[in-house]
Amino acid sequence: MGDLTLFVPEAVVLLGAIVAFVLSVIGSSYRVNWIASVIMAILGVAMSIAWLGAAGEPFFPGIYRVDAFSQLLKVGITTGLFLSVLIAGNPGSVREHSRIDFPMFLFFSAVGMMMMVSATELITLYVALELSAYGLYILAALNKRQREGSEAAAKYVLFGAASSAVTLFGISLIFGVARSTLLSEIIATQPTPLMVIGVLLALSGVLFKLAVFPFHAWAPDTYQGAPHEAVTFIGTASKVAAVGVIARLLFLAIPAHDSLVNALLVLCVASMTVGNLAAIVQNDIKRVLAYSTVAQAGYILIGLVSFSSMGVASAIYYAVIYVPIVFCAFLVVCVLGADGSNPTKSSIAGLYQRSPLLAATLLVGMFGLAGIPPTSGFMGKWFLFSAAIKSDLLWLVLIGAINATVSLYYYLRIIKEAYLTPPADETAIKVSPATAIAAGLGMTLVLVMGIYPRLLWELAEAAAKAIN
Amino acid sequence: MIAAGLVMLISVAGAVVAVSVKNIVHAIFGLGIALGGLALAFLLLSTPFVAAMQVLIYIGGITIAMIFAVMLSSTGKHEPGEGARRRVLAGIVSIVFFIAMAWVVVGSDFGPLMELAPEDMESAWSVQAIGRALLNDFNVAFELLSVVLLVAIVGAISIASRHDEGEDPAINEEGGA
Repeated sequence: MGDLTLFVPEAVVLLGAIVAFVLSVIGSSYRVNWIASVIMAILGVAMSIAWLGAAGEPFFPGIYRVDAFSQLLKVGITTGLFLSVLIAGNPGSVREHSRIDFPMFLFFSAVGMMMMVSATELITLYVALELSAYGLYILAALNKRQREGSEAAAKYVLFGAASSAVTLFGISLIFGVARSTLLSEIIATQPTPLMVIGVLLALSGVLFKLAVFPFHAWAPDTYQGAPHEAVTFIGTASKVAAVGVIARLLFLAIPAHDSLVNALLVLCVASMTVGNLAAIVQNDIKRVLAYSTVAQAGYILIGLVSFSSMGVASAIYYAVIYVPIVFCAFLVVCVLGADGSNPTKSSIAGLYQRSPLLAATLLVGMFGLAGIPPTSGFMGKWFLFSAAIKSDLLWLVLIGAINATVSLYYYLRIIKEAYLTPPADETAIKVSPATAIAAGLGMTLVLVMGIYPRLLWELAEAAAKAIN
Repeated sequence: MIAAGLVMLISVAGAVVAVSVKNIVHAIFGLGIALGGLALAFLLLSTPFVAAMQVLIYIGGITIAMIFAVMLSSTGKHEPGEGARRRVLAGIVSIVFFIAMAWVVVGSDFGPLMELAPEDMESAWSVQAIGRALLNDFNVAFELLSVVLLVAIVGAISIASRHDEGEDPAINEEGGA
């Protein structure tokens, strides 16, 4: 066995799950459970940051690797966990008597994601993937409006199970060719056509998590039907973990195989286009955000298909900055939908008069998603596009730029509703202190990483080097 | 060789039954046959332990669980099947995928694994070897599986307990996830 202290960040989050579990079993109030969860989540973020520079293998050789890559993504995942827990002080859309279990599943799922990005062995990777998925399936089902919750979870589970079966099939093909499940030994194997098919099939399970076209069909319905707080977590932390695993798996196929690159290019272009075009016609804000996720997944793929160190770094960078950006958007959804309903464009009307703080948070989130300076969304797209240009993919950048312009339309329309349309109901919206703090944190992160991208970019570059 | 062909025939026949019949109980029965065929295949590959697990988990566990699920959920309602156009499309996709896969698999070189002597094969997949692998190299996955099971059980209880609020009585019409 290696140095077990390297496992501390995951262990702290797992401890958080156990604390939440025990508090739930002894029947404490939700308030107590929530405060304990917030504290544990803060600890998780702190440990992940403290272990940023760690490197080594905590378990048997080749199974699980702690390096600059995994640690940076763990910071992203725990940040998503912390922010999601912080706004779940009074989760109005979660059904009443399941509330007490809510934080526990967030933590368990986060443990799975953290282990996913560190796993360097396919079976460990697959089990971690399932752990993170199970937590999310359950979270999706806990909607107060049970019919919707069931539909959301059923679609999520069915699509998830199917893509997971495809992943297993792919893993078995990889194992057949390489006769090992260790990534280090698979890389050393001469890539054959069967191997490329195996990697592509194995990728489909994670492409599903990232909601890349054509694995995106679950996203709109699940986003619409799952509790707001659960979607916040699905939309933030799980994307970081998925990007991490895709990056790791893609490096199995290095030297990049043409057919693999071509397949991913098609998915990348289709994701951006389908996501943005479908988002335009949606009225439910959560559905808009779901299709916007599909489009954003396409942008992230631009970095990954560039197949360069810079491309991977830009994808990691984008995945990490994406967490606070999407969080800002979902925070507004959580507050506006505190009664369990889904906010629509009309319920956002005049948000500025009702709550300037929420309107500002929404503004920052939408500007971030659209990639308008000085938000970090702009820097993220800048890095992605420059990585693609360096890899001679100018046409891909053009398609990306056209898509970004199209997306401006629906992002800005939401802003216009919030700031320029007079509200139908002028009562001020009450924002709890914890949510106000979360809003402030989210906005600060988006703006700081946009104005001062250097620190994170250097970490991302180190991460990209570590996986190479 | 004849035995292998027969086993494959049983598996494929079971799989075809599983996806083609309308009655869901018959489909599960077909699935059981297909899984039994796979267990025989493992036996032919001289891996009796994996074959036993296949029977125990898949035929004994999964299909029985499926039958329970069918029994406990409302039956008798048959959803109209997919339209003919979608069936044809799905058929074309499956056939193309199968041909492509078969072409690649047949053309692949699996190396010395194919030349393993039957007696070596048996020791490579013995209970001892699997146990050692689970508690050595794969111990992270092994420990993590227990957490996965915990989450699944607690989650199932959490979803199923619905003695509440009466917010949406319509829930009883359809099962959860």
